Amino acid sequence: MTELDDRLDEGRATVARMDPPADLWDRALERAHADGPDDLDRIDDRRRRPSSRWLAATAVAACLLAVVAVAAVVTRDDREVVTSHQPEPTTTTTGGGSSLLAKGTDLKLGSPDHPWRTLDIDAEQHAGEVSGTFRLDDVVVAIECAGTETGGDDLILGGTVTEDPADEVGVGFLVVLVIREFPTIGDRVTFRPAVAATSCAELVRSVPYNLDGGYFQQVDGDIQTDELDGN
Amino acid sequence: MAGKPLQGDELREVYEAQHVRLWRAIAVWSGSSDVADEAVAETFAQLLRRGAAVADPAAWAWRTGFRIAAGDLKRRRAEVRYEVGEISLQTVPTEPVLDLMQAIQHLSDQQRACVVVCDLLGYSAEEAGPLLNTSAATVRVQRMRARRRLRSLLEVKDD
Repeated sequence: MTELDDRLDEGRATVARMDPPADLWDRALERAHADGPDDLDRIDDRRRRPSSRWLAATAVAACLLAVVAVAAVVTRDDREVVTSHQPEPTTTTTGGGSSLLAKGTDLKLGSPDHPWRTLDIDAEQHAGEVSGTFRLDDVVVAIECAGTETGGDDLILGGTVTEDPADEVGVGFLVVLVIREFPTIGDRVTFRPAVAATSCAELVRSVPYNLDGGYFQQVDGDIQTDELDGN
Repeated sequence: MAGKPLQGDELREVYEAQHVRLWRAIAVWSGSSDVADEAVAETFAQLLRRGAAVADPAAWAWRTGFRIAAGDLKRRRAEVRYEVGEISLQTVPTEPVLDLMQAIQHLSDQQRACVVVCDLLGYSAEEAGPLLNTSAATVRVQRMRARRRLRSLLEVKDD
């Protein structure tokens, strides 16, 4: 037994004496029978929601994303990338300075059943301009735009691949990194190529509301996100 | 809403089996018994509405309870700076326990959940994984990191 174990034992004994109010069941019954919006339908109904065309298109990619293999489904987009566009600014910028969008280093991506990959993110916003990079192993992406999913906790970073020595995705392709906060299990991300977007902003806007959580890879490590953390 | 409602007795059994531990977990995790009250009541209200559409009501209740609590915490933090220490304990905790509870609040959400569910409620990593919607391996890793952080915060000796 260590000193910490002793503390935890004492904490466990204390927690065992904590009891909820006796009327929680009555509260639940009252709420269950009350009319009104079912605010939490979206939590576990994701798989039952109708698929959009975007979702159908990305379903193929999602299978590959199990091992974060993205190259096979990328369609080359040679059109000009609209840079530094923020479709729906949602982050706070204080004093005209830079504000953090997302930051994390040496994040391990995947699960014990799949190979880990390493993700680094450093994105910020300054005077409405979004900049930074994220790196997934050797694939480096220059971040050019960002947005938030309208109804949820997703932070979406879009950009263009600038380095890809193994030609996994392809330099010049548009990709998007979606960061979702999972309160009890940490953040998760999904990394997607452009499907039909012609600009970074369009790509960000094309990410559907309530993207199925099964598409996301778990991140082992902390992503600092001012927007998601509400700091 | 899909599926027929579960019979009241069936759902009541799930409630009786889970709600105390779920409430304790959320109370410690969030640092607030109010958050735990709200989250547990709302979770079971949602479960009553969903009925048979939920395949594993117990695991669903845990995942949903934490998610509701997280949303509540987020709103509270946006309104005012959240003060840790609202947990209403039926007995006066000792100073080491108070220190522990405060130190737990400095862990990441993921680490905090793993420590609370495993170390304070006694679940194994294998049992905690489905409740926290993650793998047992992740629970073990996060718990190990949490303990390392707690040792540093509490300035206690290493293993």
